[in-house]
Amino acid sequence: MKRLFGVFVNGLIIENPLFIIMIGLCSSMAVTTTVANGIGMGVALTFVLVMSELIISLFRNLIPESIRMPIFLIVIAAFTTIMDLEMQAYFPVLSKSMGVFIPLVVVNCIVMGRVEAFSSKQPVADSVVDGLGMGIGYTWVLIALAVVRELLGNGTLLGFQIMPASFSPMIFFILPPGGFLVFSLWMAASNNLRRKLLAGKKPEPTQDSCCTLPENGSAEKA
Amino acid sequence: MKRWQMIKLGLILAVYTIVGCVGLAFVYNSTSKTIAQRQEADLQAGLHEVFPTATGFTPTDKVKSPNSTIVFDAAYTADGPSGSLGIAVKAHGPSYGGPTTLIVGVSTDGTITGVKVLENKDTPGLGANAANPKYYVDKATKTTFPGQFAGKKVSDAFIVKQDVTAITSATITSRSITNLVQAVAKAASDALGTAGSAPVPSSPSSSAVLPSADTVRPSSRAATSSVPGVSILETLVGTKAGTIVGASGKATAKSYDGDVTVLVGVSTDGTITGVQILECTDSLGSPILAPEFAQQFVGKKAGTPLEIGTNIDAVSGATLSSRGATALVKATADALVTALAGGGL
Amino acid sequence: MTDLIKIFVAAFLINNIILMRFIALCSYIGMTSDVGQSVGMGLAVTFVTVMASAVTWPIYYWILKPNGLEFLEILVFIVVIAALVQLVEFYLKKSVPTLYHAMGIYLPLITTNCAILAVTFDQITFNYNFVQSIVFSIAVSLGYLLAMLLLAGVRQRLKNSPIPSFMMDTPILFLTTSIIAVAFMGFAGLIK
Repeated sequence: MKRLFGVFVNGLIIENPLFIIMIGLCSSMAVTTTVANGIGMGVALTFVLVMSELIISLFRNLIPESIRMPIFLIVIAAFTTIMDLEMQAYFPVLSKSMGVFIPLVVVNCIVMGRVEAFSSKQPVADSVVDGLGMGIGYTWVLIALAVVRELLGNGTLLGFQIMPASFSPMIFFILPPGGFLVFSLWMAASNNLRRKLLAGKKPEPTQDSCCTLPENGSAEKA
Repeated sequence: MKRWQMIKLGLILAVYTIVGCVGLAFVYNSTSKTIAQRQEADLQAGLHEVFPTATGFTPTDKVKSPNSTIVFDAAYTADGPSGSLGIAVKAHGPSYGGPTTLIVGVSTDGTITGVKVLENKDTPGLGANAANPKYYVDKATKTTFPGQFAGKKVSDAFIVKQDVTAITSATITSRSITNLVQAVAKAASDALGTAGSAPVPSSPSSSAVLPSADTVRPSSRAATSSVPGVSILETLVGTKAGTIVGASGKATAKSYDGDVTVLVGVSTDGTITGVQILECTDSLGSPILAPEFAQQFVGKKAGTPLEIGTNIDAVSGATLSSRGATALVKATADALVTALAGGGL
Repeated sequence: MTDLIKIFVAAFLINNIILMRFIALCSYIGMTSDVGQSVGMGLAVTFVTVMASAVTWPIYYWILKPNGLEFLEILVFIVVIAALVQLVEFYLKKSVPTLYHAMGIYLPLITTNCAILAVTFDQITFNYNFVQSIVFSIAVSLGYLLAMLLLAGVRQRLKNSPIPSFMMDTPILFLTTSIIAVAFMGFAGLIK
């Protein structure tokens, strides 16, 4: 139990996919113009992540090493499509407002990265908990970004007017540059907090391999 | 041996792919009905929104799209208790971030009965407000962006920032939807046989800025501004029972990165009686076209300082354009006062 | 012709895939620490994007759509792109070793590059015909290259600049990107 809790917290904070490992950034800024979109994207990704980790962990002994990548891709693509179809059917407004970012979950490095690094080697329970931790870790960052952007850029939260009528919305925060700015500041805050908390205790986490070249720059095993 | 290995791997891959595809087919089968039902429900709701009094809708193929970029998905005649009420068309055309789908209703007398945006993929919070039922281009009357088209004549100009209010900071979306509505409405009214007369450009009514005048005539001498860069295009004189009560001028000048054109009315005692911001080509400058901004000038004395931040409030998101327009209003008002004082108008 | 130019300018500058649409940010941050590397990655992405666009368009309109299999779009496209990258890698390794040495090391990273997949989805969403799709894919990937190059250039300077300690590492990169994005907002007026 304690071990599972550790796996959960790992994704939530210690190896937060967005702030620390820095993967899956695309959707985090694109959909966070409103809190509702942020929550929707977070839940969608968590679903794909948990289901893919579950299936891959279940079948991990039946996946030959040399063709694991195509199989991972097929599994992830299948769950992304399911999620896409379900959203179109039951949450059409949300589905429309997120557009291309729903199918792009399939190449979201969080999913590929966790499947490859974690669930292809770990038991089912750990994999599901890892998926939940990473998914919620992703979601809370999206909400944090979206709260700032929607409140300052539109004066509302979840569509309800929060700011007084005299407040004129700063559209900048909804526009792309505002997304980059808010993310930059949140990340700076999180990094500093983490530096203080972990002062010297933890080594920097490894960069994910799907976005950067391996250290020696060779392409043999990426 | 190696070949067998390859075949085995290939078979494993094939099994995963087939299982994946079959699974997807099942999910697709179960969701596609819901998706289709929902789209049908959206369509019916949209049709009833543009023709609230219609008793039924009959598909028609009379309406033809004018060009290849705008696709007409479906067209219906709205049936009322006593004959046809008009035509509703569901169409999609290109916008900023992908196709926009909407329903346009046109009544038999060539008036748009309503516009409903079904789908829009533009920037959330900006262009996507076109489909937001809580985003008002006119907060006072709670008019949404598509809502403002209701009651418009098919023969109107359909020019954003003139007879169509733009969505803040989403000029491209506003423009593409306006063009789409116009094209669909034209095609529908052609099919109804009510094609209106040629579009009449809406000319700014000078009497609106000179409320006390009963007649407005061109001035015999044009007002000129001493401020560099300000050109007064047209000077009019307002009279009441033969005596001059004021003058109005249409003037243009460079603003932030475009031009701004205003219409200013001044009474003989130097009070600004009315202001209309006619055009602003600044990027992100369209919010200053809001009547609330122009209204602030009314009652102010020409000759006194008019400044953003002190006695004039800037429109949020368009401070520089607000500043440019304010300077132009002041220059025009001053020029009109000088012209009125000089006499011989 | 004008519609092709419009598509090009819109996809290259106005809706720049990285700066305005936030797609492919991973490689944007991960691969710009060196100008040469950013150009190599940009060219490799351009190459694969255009090929992927040219391959997926006929697959969608000639195979998936006539058979009512649109729901397999995501699965088919990602598998096709993965296979395509593999083929390109094999081909370059065997036939054009010089090009392989310049570009090959980036290929494994490209399968999961959002930009390529986004282009293939977008060309379907926007109802582009084949020629428009190709122009669109060229424009998007050149926009990607441009954004990569811009950040790589700024990063060379950042290395020797005094940065407040709380903004060290990645936060300053996103702050820089925010400012570059502000500049790109100015392109919005290019198309009326």
